[in-house]
Amino acid sequence: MASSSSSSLSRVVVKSSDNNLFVVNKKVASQSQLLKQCIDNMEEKGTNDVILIPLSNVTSNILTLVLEYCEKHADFADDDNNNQELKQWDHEFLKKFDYATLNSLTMAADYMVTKSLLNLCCQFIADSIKDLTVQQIRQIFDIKNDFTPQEEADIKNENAWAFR
Amino acid sequence: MSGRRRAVCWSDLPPELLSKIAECLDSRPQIQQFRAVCKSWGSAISPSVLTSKNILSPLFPYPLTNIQYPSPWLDSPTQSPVLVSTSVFLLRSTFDPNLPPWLFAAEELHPGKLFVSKSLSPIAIENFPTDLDFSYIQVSELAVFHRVRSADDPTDLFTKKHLSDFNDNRVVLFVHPSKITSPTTGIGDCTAMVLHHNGALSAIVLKNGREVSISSMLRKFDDIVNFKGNIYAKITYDPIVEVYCGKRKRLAVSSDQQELFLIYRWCRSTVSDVVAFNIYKLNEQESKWERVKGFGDDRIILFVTFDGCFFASVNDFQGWKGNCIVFYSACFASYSSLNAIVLVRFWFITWRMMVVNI
Repeated sequence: MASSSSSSLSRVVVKSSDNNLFVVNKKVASQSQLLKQCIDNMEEKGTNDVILIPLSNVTSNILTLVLEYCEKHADFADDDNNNQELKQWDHEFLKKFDYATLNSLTMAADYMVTKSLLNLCCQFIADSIKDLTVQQIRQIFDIKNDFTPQEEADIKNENAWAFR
Repeated sequence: MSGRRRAVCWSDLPPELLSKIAECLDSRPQIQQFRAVCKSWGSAISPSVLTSKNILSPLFPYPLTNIQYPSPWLDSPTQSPVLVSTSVFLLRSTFDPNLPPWLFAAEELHPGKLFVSKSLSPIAIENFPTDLDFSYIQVSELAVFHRVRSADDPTDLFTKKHLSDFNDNRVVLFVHPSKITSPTTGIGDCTAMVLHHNGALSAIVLKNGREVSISSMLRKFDDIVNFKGNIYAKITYDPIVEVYCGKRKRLAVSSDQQELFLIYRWCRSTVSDVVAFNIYKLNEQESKWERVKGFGDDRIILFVTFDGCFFASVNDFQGWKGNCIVFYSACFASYSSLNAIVLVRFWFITWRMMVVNI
C-alpha cells in the first residue's frame, strides 16, 4: 500500500485474531470507524510511532477481505460521480463468497464499524433470501427448524392478510 | 491466511444484525418468511419492522418527497404527496367453487395499512373480516391502478369513508425506453403521467418531483393507459409518452396486453334509461380505430371503475354473460349532455360468500 500523506501518522498496523499483521494506509483504515477512532485517539496524544491495533474477533482471511473493500472505497471516497462503478464493484465483490464467508464478513463489518460494508452485506443477504421459501432458507444457511408445529402454525396465521 | 475453519452458525447471528437484514427485505410476506426460519431469527425481528413494510407492493406507497409546499398538490405545508397503488382482488372459495366470488379493491396509503373499498366505487367496505383463512380462498389480482394522494395525518385516509372526497386523479407510470433494459432501473426512473379530475394532464418526474403540464387549457383528457408503445403523442417534453385522449371515452387494454379498446357511452335518445356503447379496437398497422361489435370474446367482462378499466374472465362470475360492460354510472358518464343516472349492471357485494370461513 502506498503512503501518500505527510501527516505524522500515515500508516497503522492491524493485527488479526490469528496474529497476522497488516500494514494499512490511514485513509484506507478510516473506512472503518473502529480503526479511525483508534487513530484519532493516538493522534490526540501526539504519538508519532506507528500504532498497532489488535482485532481479536477477525481472522486474517476475513480481515483481508474487509481491507480489500476499504481500499476500494477509499479510492472513491472523494468522488461521488463514480457511484455506479463502485456499486457494480460492490456487487461483484460479494458474489464471490460462500455463505460462511458472508456470515463472518458481516460480523467483521459490524465489529469494525464499517457501515457501508455492513449495509452492503445485509442487503446482499436479504436479496438472496427474498425469493426463497422458509425451507430453502434453512437449507442454504444450514439452520435447524427449532419451532414446535404449534408455534409454526401460529406464525403462519399471524397475519393472514399478507397474501402477496 | 488462517487454515483454521471456524464453524459458522447463521442462527447465532446477533439479533441486531438479523434485524438489519430483515429491514432490507421489501415486503411483509418476506419478513414473515424470515421470522419463520428459526426461533432466533423470529425473535430478532421487532413488530415495528413488520408493520413498517408494505403489503401490496414493495414499491408503493412512494413518497414524492421532492414536491414541496406551495404546490397544487398540497393544501398546507404539513402535507406531503404520496404515490399509491390500488389493487383489485378477486377472492374465490376453493372450498365450494359454486359460492359467488368476491371482488374488492385495496389501497395502501401507509405501509401495512389497507383501505379496502368496493371494487367499482370508492366506498369503503366496513367491518372487513380480519380473520380470512386463505387456505380456503384463492386470491387473484385483476388489476393495479395508481394515483397521487396528499396526506398530512397518517390516519387521514382511514377516517374518510368515501374516497371521492379526495381530489381524484389517475396515474399511469412510464419508463423511458432507454432505461428499461438497465438493471438499475427503479421506480425513481419512472415518469408518472397524471390525469387530473378536471381532465388536465401532467407529468411528474419521480426522481426530482418536477411536474410539467402537458395539456393546454382547452384540451381535456378522459382516460389514460400505457399500451405497448404503438400510440405516441409526441410532446415537447422528454420522455416520449403514449397518450391517447378522448372525450367521455374509456380506454381498456386486454388482459394479454395485445389489444386496446376504446369505449364510449352515449344516450340514444332523450329517454334516460336507454344506454348504448360504441366500441372501437385499435388497428395498429393502420393506426386507426375500427368499430367492433364487442370485445370479440364471450369469455370476458369489462369492468369500468373510477380507477380505470380491467377485463375479467366470465368463468369467475357464475351466471354472468360474457362480452358485457359492468360499471357504476357515476364513473362512466354518458357521451351526450344528458347526465343519466343509470345503473347498467352494478354488482352489489354481499357478505354471503364469507360463510366459507370455517
